[in-house]
Amino acid sequence: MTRLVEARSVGRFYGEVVGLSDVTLSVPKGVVGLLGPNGAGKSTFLKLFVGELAPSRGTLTVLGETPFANRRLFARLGFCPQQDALYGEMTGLEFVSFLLGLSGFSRADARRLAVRALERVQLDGAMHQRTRGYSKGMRQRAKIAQAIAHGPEVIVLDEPMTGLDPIARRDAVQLFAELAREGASIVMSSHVLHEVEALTQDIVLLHRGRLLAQGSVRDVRDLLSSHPRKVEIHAREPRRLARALLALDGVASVRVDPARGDGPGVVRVETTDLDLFQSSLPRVAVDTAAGIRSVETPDSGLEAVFDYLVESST
Amino acid sequence: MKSFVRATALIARTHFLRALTSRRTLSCVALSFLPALAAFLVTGISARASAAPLFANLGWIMMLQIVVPLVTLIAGSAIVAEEVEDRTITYLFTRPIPRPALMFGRFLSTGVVVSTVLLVGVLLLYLACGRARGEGAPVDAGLAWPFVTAVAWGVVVYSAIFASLGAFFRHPMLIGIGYAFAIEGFLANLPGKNQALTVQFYLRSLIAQSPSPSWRGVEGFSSTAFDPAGRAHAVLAVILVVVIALGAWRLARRQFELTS
Amino acid sequence: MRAETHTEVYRPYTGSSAPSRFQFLALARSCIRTAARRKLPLVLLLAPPAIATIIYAFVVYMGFAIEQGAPPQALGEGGNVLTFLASKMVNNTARQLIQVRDTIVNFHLATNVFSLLLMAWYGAGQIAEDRRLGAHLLYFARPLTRLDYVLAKLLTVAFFGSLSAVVPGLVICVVATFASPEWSFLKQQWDVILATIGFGLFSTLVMSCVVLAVSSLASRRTFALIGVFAHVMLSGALGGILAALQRERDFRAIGILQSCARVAAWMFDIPRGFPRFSLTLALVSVGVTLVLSLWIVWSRVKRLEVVA
Repeated sequence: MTRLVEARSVGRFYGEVVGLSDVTLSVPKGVVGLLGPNGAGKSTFLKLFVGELAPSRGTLTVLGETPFANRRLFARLGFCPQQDALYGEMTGLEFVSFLLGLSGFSRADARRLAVRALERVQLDGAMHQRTRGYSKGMRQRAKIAQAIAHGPEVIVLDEPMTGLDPIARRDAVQLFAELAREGASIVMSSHVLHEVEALTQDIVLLHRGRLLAQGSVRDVRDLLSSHPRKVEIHAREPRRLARALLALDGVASVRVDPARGDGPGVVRVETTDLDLFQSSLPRVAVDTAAGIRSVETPDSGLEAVFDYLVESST
Repeated sequence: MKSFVRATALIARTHFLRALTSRRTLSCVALSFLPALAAFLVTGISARASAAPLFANLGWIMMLQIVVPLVTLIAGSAIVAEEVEDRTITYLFTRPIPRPALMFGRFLSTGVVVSTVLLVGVLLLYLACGRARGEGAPVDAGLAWPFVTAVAWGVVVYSAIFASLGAFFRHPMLIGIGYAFAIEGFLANLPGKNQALTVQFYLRSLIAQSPSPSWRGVEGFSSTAFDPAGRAHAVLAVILVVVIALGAWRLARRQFELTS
Repeated sequence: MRAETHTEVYRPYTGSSAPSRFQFLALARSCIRTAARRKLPLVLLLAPPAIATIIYAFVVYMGFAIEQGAPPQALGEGGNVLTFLASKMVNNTARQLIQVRDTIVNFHLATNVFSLLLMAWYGAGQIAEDRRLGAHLLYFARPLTRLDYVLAKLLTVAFFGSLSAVVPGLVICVVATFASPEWSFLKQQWDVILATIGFGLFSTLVMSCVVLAVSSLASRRTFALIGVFAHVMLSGALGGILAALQRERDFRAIGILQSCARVAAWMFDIPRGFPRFSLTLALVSVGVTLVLSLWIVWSRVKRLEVVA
């Protein structure tokens, strides 16, 4: 089956500045989050992806084809760039219609599809207004509209949440999820980790131009054996619980934050085998009668994975 | 081929409408009208100024050597460079269109707009010179027509050169200033064969064949051996085709590193 | 000794921050330093004036040496054919340009284009780019007045212009001073030194104001560059055309460079060999240009709003 993107030892340099270095990855079709701190190489990767740039080294294919100046591929792609750039003299409708016309649609079809796309991003009220007068959020939505209007197979979004208010962000995530359900593959780069997490569990993590990790968040987390898993337990008798937990196999450390007033205390555990710990915890809870109120694993999420990986590579 | 023509036409039409209201076009209009303004002032304050010499001097020195290169520099260098500077080139180059369609489309629309603006400037110059009160020949077709031809060719060839510079360089306007004034301005006024290396020489050759004696009174006219008009047309056509082809070739291959 | 730790990340400034009366100097210094980072244009545009300075200074030196009847050893009478020919050429030139004032005015006429280019290159973006990039928001959020801003920008442009317009002339004067017998140049022609400084500053000031005015009107640096060239070339061309058509030399005063050359001829008291049109008109032309430019700069800078 054709992969969404396959990169082999891809490098891209801007003079002496390294944009990407020796990146090898293979991503199946679907939704994937492209993550990394500032300057990680996310935008460079996306520019290689959409054929704006060609790799300095290595090979990169999208849907089996080399993207640079590949017109056939562009008909299947939609790209929302990071830069805040629109044709200020055009209205939102004219802007999207113009680009649809370049995609090969007739004038009538272009207009119809443009209206539909602008409605989907909730810009239909301002579609006859010049983009010069748009707010930052409206500009971002116009960019998203032109990326999805022609119903592409692959939608590439470079920081699509920039400038959107919290409600608009939520709506954007819902829109992308809807598009994914309709069969589009989505590649989205973002700093807003919980929004990427809401959309997909599959990530590609870049840092300083290098690939740090790829795969599902859970699987990547499991691979991080150097970082024991954290568990936070709120209990009425934290000390009694802590004594019992220390005796379990795989528990690396236990820390007790005593109760304040009437509230429960907190036992913070680090364990190298989360599955074993989770299977042993019920027995310990019954034996100690410590009055457990809640159990949380604060570092299984994307943010923790991100922090661990970036920290360890610095 | 069909998609190329379609994309070129769409870009030309869209950009034509944008160009009508852009500040660049306004600057071009202001520059184009300067020779006419100068003629208006001269005919107003001087009773001795006569139409044909005034038209010839202002046309040859001010219009052809300064205004036409400046206007085409402003408009022509924007053909590719404006999309890069405004960072909108991303939208165009991620669509299924041949890249040179951008250049051809905008070249067409720019050519129409700039030609119109400059030809209106020439018309106003003609009308302003017509106010001259001095004794001397009026501005007739023999005087004006070769000049209009030269201006039209100047628009097309210079625009193509500056557009191609935009495909090659990051700052085409700076390179264009150097070309227009250091190379064209300097070489075109050097005596001898060096002039044949400039576009100005062939533009002036188109005028030089005019039967009107008024051109002969212009500084630098008599001391130069110009080419026949037929040859000048051919050379200008070759320059146009070569320059456009080079620009299109480069645009198809160039990678644009835009800042976010 | 009492133990203490300093784990705070932020330490507030405890000194005073009274605004200085010469804040424009700090801004000018910063602008010059930033502009001078682009070294290649500086080298390319200063190279011709530098070469011209060396040549003209040597000619002045030769002139004084010949006056004293002793050509320099470096170009002695003996030696090979090349040195003989070179010495003949320099001797001939030196005899014609025995007057230092003529040398300096010729130098200015030969290199004023490079002064203009330097000022245009480094000055065209001073206000245009600030406005385009929103840098004026940073400046005016500080205790910096509009006057400080204008003075700083003017000083920045003038600095680069003076590198070509003032410094070379002074170098030639210094060479003349030391080469002249018994400091005769300093004693008898001290007015040339004053004229050199005066004209250098004058032409720098006028062109700086023009460059800044165009920069304040343009939306970006490249447009401002074109505007400067357009103004200089069109005004010169118009003056020349009208002078030819009307057979009246005074029309040349319309050209800004031509007017500056006329003023140079007056300041250096050159009796012949330079464009001779009305000095009054030249001064009026320059004066009007200066006043208009300053008015444009001031009104544009005053309108700069401190909103994004």
